This record gives sequence, C-alpha cells and structure tokens, in this order.
Amino acid sequence: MQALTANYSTRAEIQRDQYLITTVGAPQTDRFRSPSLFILTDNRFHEEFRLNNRIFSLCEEFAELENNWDGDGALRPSSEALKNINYVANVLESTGYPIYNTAPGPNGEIMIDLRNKLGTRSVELIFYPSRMVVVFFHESQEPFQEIFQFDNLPNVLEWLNKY
Amino acid sequence: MNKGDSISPSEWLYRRGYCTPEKKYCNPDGTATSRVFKLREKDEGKLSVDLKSKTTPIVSVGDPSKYFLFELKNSTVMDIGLDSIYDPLDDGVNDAHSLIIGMSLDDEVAPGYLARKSKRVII
Repeated sequence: MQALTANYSTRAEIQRDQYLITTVGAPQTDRFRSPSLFILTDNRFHEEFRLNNRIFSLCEEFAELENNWDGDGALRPSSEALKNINYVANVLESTGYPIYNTAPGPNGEIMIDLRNKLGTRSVELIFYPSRMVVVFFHESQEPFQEIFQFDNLPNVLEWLNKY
Repeated sequence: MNKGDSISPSEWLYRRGYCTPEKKYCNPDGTATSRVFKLREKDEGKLSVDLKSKTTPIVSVGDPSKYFLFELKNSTVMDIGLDSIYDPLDDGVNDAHSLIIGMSLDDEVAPGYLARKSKRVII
C-alpha cells in the first residue's frame, strides 16, 4: 500500500502547495513564520479542496446512522466497516483517485463504487463487519466477485483502468 | 395472473430505495446503488418488488420524501439466471407485490448488475 503513495506528490499536496504560495505569501513574511496560522491555513485547505470531500462527508454521516435507518430494518453500519472504508478512502484520496460513490447497505455493510473514465469498467468494494468483497463489472464481460484484501487494491485499480 | 406464476420477461418491475433530500444514498446521477437490490436476512432469499402493470409509481413508492423508485425490465433479471414470481399480499394491501428469487445473501454480483440496469422513475 505504501508503494501507492511513496513515489510522487498527490494532487491534493500540489494544490495545497499552490494555495499556500498564493495566499500565505513568501517565506520571509511574519504570517508564514507563525506555526498556528500555518496549521489553520492547512486545515482550511483540507476542508475545501479534498478530491473526495463528498465521500468523506457521507462516511461521517454513516457513522451516525442507527438501526432501522431506512425504515425497513437495515442495520447500522458496523464500526469495522466504517474503519475500513475510511482507510481505503484515505488511500484513494492520497493517490488522487476519485471515488464515484459510497452507500450503506442493509446488513451493516458499506460499499465504495469506483469507475473508470470511459464508464466501461467499474468496481465495488464492499465492507462487511467480518469480510470484504470486491466485485468487477465490465460492459462486455460477465461480472464476478472475489474476497478483497487491502494488499490487492493496486491490482484492483490496475484492472479498473485497463483499456 | 395467479399467485406463484412466473412473470413474463417483457414486464417491468419497481424497486424502491432509501434516499431523502438530506441523506442522498443514491448515485450522483440519480441511479440506484447496488445496496438497493441487496438481500437482507429477513428476506429469506426473496427480494420484494412490485409489478409495474399492477400498480402506479406513487402507490409503489409509498413515501416519496423517503424513497426513490427504480424500474427494471424483467428480462434483465432473467439474464443472470434469476426468476421473478407474482406474489400479491394475502391481506390485499399490495396486489402488485412480486419476488425476485435465486439470489443468495453472499451474492454481490446480482445486486450490482440489477442496479446498473435499473432506471429511476421520476415521480
């Protein structure tokens, strides 16, 4: 997983650097020297410019759901599912990969939907309290599912972006 | 059509999914997520739907402030080896009630496939 993020700056990091240069000013200014101001500016950046901001907001919302949230007996998302989806969402954010959507399911699971740019392939990562599943969808092939492990994420993204 | 009869591939089915103005648990383009077609344990392997020809969108959705309604051609259900049967409720509350059968709780392919083939019904 580390290999995904170690070798290059993410889009978020580049945007943050540009933001700091244009709004904070040159390093010799007093504002830049103030550690507290720097931290405030940095946090503001993260709130405004996260690539998957909508997804992170939804994850926060899922954590507040109670049992029967859909009026039809759906279980609240499990803490394990919430932990795992936050981990994967942060990895994808740090690599600059957009998440198409996420949704809670009726059995305490949470699903992440990833799509390629052409709309010809998509992948769902589904996090249950005690298992993880990946489902592959291709416009001209039979869909199939496998057990998901975090180590497989690079392979999943590679399949998703094949042409 | 009698209770237990198979539904023709040319018929359309309705399935509703939770989605409110505050909690937008559908796709950004308004289509269904796979979770809308996911079985739960209490379903006992039978996913509830409504037969479009026996109801109206307003009746089928129940509460449009809490649910979106999606439609799906029955041939799509049959394409992946599932079946659908007519199952009107005995108390007469829902004469359109039907069931998609053949899915298992562990099946993640069918919910995603059906969601991708469904269309939202604008009410």
